Amino acid sequence: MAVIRPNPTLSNDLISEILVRLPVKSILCFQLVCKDWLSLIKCPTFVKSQLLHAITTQTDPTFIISRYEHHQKKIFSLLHANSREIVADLQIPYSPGDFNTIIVGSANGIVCFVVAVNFPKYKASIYLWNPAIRRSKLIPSYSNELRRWLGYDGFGYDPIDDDYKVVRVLSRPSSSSKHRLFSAEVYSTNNNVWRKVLDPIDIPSMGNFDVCVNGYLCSIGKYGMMSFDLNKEVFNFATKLPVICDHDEARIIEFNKSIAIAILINASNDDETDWKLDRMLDKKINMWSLDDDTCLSGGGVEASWTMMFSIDLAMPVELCLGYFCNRDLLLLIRGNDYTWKSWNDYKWISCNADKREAKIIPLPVYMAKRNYYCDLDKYTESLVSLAGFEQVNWPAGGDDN
Amino acid sequence: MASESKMIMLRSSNNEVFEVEEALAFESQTIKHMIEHDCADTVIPLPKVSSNILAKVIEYCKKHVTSPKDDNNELESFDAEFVNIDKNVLFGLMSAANYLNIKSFLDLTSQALADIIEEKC
Repeated sequence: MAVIRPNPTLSNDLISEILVRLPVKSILCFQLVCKDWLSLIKCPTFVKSQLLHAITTQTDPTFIISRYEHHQKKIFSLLHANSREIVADLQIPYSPGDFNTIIVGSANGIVCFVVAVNFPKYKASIYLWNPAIRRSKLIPSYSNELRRWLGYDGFGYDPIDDDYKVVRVLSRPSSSSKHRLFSAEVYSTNNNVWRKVLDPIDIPSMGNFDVCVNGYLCSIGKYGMMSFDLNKEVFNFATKLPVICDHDEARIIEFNKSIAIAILINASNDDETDWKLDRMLDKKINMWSLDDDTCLSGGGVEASWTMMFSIDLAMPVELCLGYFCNRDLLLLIRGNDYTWKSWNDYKWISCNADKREAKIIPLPVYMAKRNYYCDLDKYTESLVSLAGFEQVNWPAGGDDN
Repeated sequence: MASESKMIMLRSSNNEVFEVEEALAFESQTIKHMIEHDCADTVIPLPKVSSNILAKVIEYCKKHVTSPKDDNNELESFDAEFVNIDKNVLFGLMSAANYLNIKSFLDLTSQALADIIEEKC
């Protein structure tokens, strides 16, 4: 009589097929099942499969939103794109006292953040962290660690060399001329070193780089769109924008794995030079998409943009941040009737490209008025672990996220 | 005039022969490859698939080939019911989906198994 096996055995391929569909937290539990499963899960091929599956099947994208609650401590929270709900707070695993933490960017589940300390002397420490697997590392100090240089950072994934890179652009006043001096360095995770690149001629206008798409870090600069090619490690400063605009009226947003730009203009097309009066005018939102990102590599290819929609918002607003959810553009805007009471009166606006209409969506109750929202970084849970990563020791009593 | 669709014979591991239309058999990239590259005779042997599993695979393919393209809701409820079975049979279906290279069926069965595991966590 044939022996009936109670548990049919599956090949590693098939076990992987099942495991990639589980949330990272569950996959980590399964490392404890047996040695075979532990080595399967730790295998780089499996890590890549899980990441690919997570990215391609993401029905409700997640973002890390940086916010200040009641003008006090900065909080980093996970925001679900569809529901606009804040589902969890991230505990940055380092708190050395008086400090300022900024999230530079996130790619493939890796979050890059800078912790700047002022006492006993100024020091900026840059960390790479995977919150899902609770591992992180401090990257070596960049060579130009001079005090009081203003730093502008970018973090992204170079798909060509499978490398995670940090760019630091520094600016300081020149002793000999009116103009500031700029310098830049790039850190490569694969090589674990910083490398100086050609001195840039501009800095990102809004602080750190806005987005990283297809291996290009992008931001708005003085001369147009400014981009950094993570693979070739070169800047491109003058990618033409669809219209001339001030940096605080525009946001670069990722759309369909490419670049789009949201620009606020006056609904009546008036050109009001007095900014106090300008902010009282009704606005409309224009959305453009970049046709081909090869113009970002600086080979002389000119940028061409296609207008996606132009929607009249019929009220004065200030742009805060935005993202695409399917074909809808979700914009977080600040109302602007210029009284202190409603100074941080936030609203979500959903713009639909096909219907060419915008509607206001009420803010969830806990996104209270007196908070301040800045920075949005796309986040996907992954198992990616970089060389030099170590287990993070959570603070005692920390939230088990 | 009705066109005659070609019939393919599939033999399971326990020597049972199933006759199916070519369009249905071609849901399996493995079978499609074997036929297109003339690797098989009149009957295609499938030594890794038992007859009860093969019968279910054929049932799945038949439903997906014959259903109108825009009837997503019906297909979804068919799929959900289809994997609502004993997990040992589900394992067998998943192995067969992998061996026969039927992508949508592999996705369906592996997701069903992942859901079962998630529930138990």
